Amino acid sequence: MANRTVNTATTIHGTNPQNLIDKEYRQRIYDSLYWKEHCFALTVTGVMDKAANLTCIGGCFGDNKRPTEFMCLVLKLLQLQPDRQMVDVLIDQNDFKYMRALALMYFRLTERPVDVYTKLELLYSDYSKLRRRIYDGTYVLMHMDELVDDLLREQRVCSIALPRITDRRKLEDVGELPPRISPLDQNDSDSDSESGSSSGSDNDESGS
Amino acid sequence: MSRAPEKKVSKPVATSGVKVHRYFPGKAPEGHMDEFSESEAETEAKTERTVQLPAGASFGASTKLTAATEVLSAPMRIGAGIGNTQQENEGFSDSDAESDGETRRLMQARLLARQRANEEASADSGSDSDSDSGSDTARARLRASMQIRKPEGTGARAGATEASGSGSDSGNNSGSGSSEESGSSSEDGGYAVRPMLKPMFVPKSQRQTQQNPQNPQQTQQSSRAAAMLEDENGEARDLGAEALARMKEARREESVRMAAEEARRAREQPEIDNDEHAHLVDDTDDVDPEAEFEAWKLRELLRIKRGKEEGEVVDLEEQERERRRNMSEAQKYAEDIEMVRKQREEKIERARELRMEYLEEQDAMRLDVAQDSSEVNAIMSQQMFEYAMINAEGRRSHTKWKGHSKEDTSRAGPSLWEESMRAAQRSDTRPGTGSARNPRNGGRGQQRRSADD
Repeated sequence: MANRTVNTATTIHGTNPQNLIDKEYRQRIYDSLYWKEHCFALTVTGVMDKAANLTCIGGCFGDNKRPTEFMCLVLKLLQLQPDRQMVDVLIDQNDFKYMRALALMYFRLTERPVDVYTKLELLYSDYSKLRRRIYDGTYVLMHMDELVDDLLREQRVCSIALPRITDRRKLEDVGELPPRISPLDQNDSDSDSESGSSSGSDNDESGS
Repeated sequence: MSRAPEKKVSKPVATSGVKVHRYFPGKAPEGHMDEFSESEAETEAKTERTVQLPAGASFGASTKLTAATEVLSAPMRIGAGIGNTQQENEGFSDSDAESDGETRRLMQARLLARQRANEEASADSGSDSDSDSGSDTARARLRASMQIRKPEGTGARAGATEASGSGSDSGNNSGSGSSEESGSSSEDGGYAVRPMLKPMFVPKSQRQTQQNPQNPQQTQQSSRAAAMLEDENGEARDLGAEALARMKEARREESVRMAAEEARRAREQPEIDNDEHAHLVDDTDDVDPEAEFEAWKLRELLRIKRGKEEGEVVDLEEQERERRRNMSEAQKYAEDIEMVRKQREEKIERARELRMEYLEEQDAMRLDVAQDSSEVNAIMSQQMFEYAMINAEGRRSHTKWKGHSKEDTSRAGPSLWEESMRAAQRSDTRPGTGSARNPRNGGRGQQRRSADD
């Protein structure tokens, strides 16, 4: 009962959105204490609150394949299926980077390739630090832009198998996407003004 | 044959009419009491009585015999003493008084044998005057043991089906007596066949087993479980419906208590979540803005470079495809052949290089083995070298099998088979067996000449 997707949800990639996480890992999440204790009967607002308290990203770790709280919240979002606006809000906010990471993951899982590229590549210029919990339970430092890179290129991030998106080159060939212009390729004056770290600091004076 | 088939009259078989006595454990088969006899002379002591005693029963004075027979004259079913099985009893039920007598005889024999053994034991230690007292004590003992068994024995007679009941009863009551029996039987030095006792269930509370020190928990649990199933008396509890319910309730309470304990423990010692390690990895931004920016810049540049390279690869492929599309079939074929040839050459070349490396290594090692290049004794060092190589490479899955072709001995030397074939061919003077087209020589004629020709 508590693990059913919300009634109004649409199918994502032809399936129940929860199925985007493999059965094995999904079951681990359902069985985890965090899910049972904290993720029960949560709304999107509740998820936001929880996400504000996140301390790391990551998938399942350890011998038990214990899921991170991040992963539990991803599944919760998949269950709730917030609409696009909400997700945009979560991504665009500058205060909580883990919330942003969460929303990015959700976005990558659910949206179409063109939108994914458009939205995520903006965040290539966000170099805030993230803590990542790897397979053996230890922590590793990574950055937001690295996360975005993984989301766009890798097949599996945080123990979640990402749905296939078309090659960027192919989309360019077809014309749906313009070739990527890196902020460094732009005028030198612009490169300094790009949104650097975005955790609670408004330090970009000159607009890009 | 119009004769009616003869009726087959079954010949009397040797065994028919003879009573075949089955073997029952604990009971010597009839007619084999001789084996227990001590000496031939004592067989003369056999007296003619209504109760025929087996020949080998060795006993001295007839008084003993009288006593024994008096005691035993009352026909009784053997109870637990002689370890009758159900079968045995049933066997007895079919039989006549003779089998009764047999069992009685057997019992007597055993008891008297035991007696005798005791006497001998006492005689070794004491004097002959003890013999009378010995007999008295023996008689007393005999009577005592009889009296244990007799009440149930007389109560349950003649019915084989009750024998088992009697057996269990006697077994029950002689639970204490059985130990006596076994004790006494061990004293006789093995002269008598030990009476086999029916295994008797002893409740756990009364058992005197050694608690296994390795599994104290198990015994705890089992004792707890046992306690639930048994009363204070240790008798098995009759589980009615409400008793079961009570048991279940007790178990439930137990589990709730354990859960509460677990929760309390968890509360007091919260699970260590390794968050100390989390603090080792610092994710605060703007610790060093410039450095961070530079790091990001580097990453971004690498990403750009990577994107370019991938783009180039794709472009090249695209160009190639274009080019080939505009070529004719023949040109394409020529190109492909060329490419494949080159690949193969490269492969062979690479294999050659590797082989050369290997051989050079071997030469170097050979020189090492020889210690001095002038000493290189070809054969010896070759063998030593091979031995060393084998050791170096390892002996796992080492075999002397060199391959099928090496095992082929057909061409190596004169082959006996071929010799015989050739000899046969030579001596064969029949027309049509000339050498030209003879399948025996493969139709080749006498081309091949071997050493023996």
